[in-house]
Amino acid sequence: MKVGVVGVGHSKFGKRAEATIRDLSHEAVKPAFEDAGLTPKDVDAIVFSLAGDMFNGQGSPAALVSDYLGTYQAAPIRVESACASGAAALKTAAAFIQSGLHDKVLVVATESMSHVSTSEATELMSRTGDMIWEYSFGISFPAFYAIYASRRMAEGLTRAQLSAIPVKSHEYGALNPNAHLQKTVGLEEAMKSIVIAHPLNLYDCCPISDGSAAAILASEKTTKDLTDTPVWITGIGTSGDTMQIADRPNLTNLSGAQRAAEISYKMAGIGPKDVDFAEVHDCFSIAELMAYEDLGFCPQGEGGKFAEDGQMYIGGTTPVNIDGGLKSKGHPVGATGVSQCYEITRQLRGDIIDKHAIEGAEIGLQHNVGMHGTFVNVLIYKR
Amino acid sequence: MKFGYASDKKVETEFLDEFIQKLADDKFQGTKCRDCSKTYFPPRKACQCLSTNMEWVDLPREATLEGYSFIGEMGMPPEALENRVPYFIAVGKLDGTDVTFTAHMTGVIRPKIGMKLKVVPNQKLDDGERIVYKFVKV
Repeated sequence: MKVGVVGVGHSKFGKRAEATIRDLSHEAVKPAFEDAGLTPKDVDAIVFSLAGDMFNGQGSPAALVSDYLGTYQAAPIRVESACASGAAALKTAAAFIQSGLHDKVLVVATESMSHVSTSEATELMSRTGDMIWEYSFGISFPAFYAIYASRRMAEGLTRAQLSAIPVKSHEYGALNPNAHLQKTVGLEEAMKSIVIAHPLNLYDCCPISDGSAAAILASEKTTKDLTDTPVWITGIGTSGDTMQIADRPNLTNLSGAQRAAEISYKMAGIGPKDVDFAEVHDCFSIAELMAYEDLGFCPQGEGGKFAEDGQMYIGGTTPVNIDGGLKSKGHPVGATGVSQCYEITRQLRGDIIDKHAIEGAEIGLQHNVGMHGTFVNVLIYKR
Repeated sequence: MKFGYASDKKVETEFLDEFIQKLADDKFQGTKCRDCSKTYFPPRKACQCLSTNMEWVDLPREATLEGYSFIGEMGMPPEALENRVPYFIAVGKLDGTDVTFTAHMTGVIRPKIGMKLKVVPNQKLDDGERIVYKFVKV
């Protein structure tokens, strides 16, 4: 049985001091119901994604949000896979539908992070590192990815190649009304900004954002009843990797992403060349570069050249993060995976008609990573 | 004595205390599974094969640099490490083993991946209130 996406919604991402997780969720869920032509009473289950308990003291945030949205009768389940929680929630919802247990499932993905200081946010995020053996050495989230970047630079990756990625992300993000940072940046500025965790600088790192995204998934029959422009989830691949970054067999790529992609491609019956565009998890520029290779858009070791040649722009080999990506759009961690689904669904339905539009796109791929490659979900969508 | 540059009481155990005492005695040891022979550093009480039949083993103190980052004065350390900047975080591999781990690295200005490092297991901090292991340049 196929699973369809019948409605999507998205809040504005950014520093949303005026909004709680209730408000952010409402901002994403209301348009998702309108998009699907459904009401809160119509859904059979809710899967809620919020990664960071520590950012807001609310116990059982799923219950709070579910009540606020008028969906409390369909008792929510919360899913947590760090920054990959959003796609993990989509996977859970799809499994409920494919099993026949539920027919229509609402996925709500929300995170509120910016009401703490940057150093406190860095502290809270770094606590997802092993509390005894990595956190205790002050390894920050940027430092995890900086370790990969140090290795890649020793093997020939250049500063200009890496900075080409945020330049592209900001160019597209400037066109996205939901994006946190709607501005362009030149290559020189991107190369020379302040160092956060050497060799990664400010423009290599995504901002700390608040936001929410929602999707309603349904069975094949219900999807066909509800819409003439269905988008189907045709591949779901998941894999993981070690808790400690030091235990990875290599520090050049995310082997969990490679495994997840292989599973997802096999399920969808396609290969990397069939992907018309992708939404990848660019929490850091180096993460997007590794994704080009891990997803098979270019050979291993050639991600730098792929970026330098602009192959990730519309018109290139595989357009990547045409909504601005985590870098420009923002990264409310638990919301990101569903935000990727929102963008892919709208692209495949032809809802996007401005400079963002990828004409004739039939297949979109989503790559949502938790921690430093510890959880990876790769989902493939087809119109 | 506490382990690490920053720590949380919730993760302190007798096993960690035993390990801290070894570091204080200048012993650099990990644990090895007697059933499947896998060696761990940092040490574990249970193997990934789920056996608890573990023994302490001496480890070599020579290592190779696999990857690193530098958190400088303008960088963004976690709050708990703000008073420790600047510092290098390194992933090193112990020579002749497949054991890799994360620690601070000192005595370097421009590190090179593949350079030789030495492990110092008994680095005492804060007048002996804390202890860590670290990598230093050979």
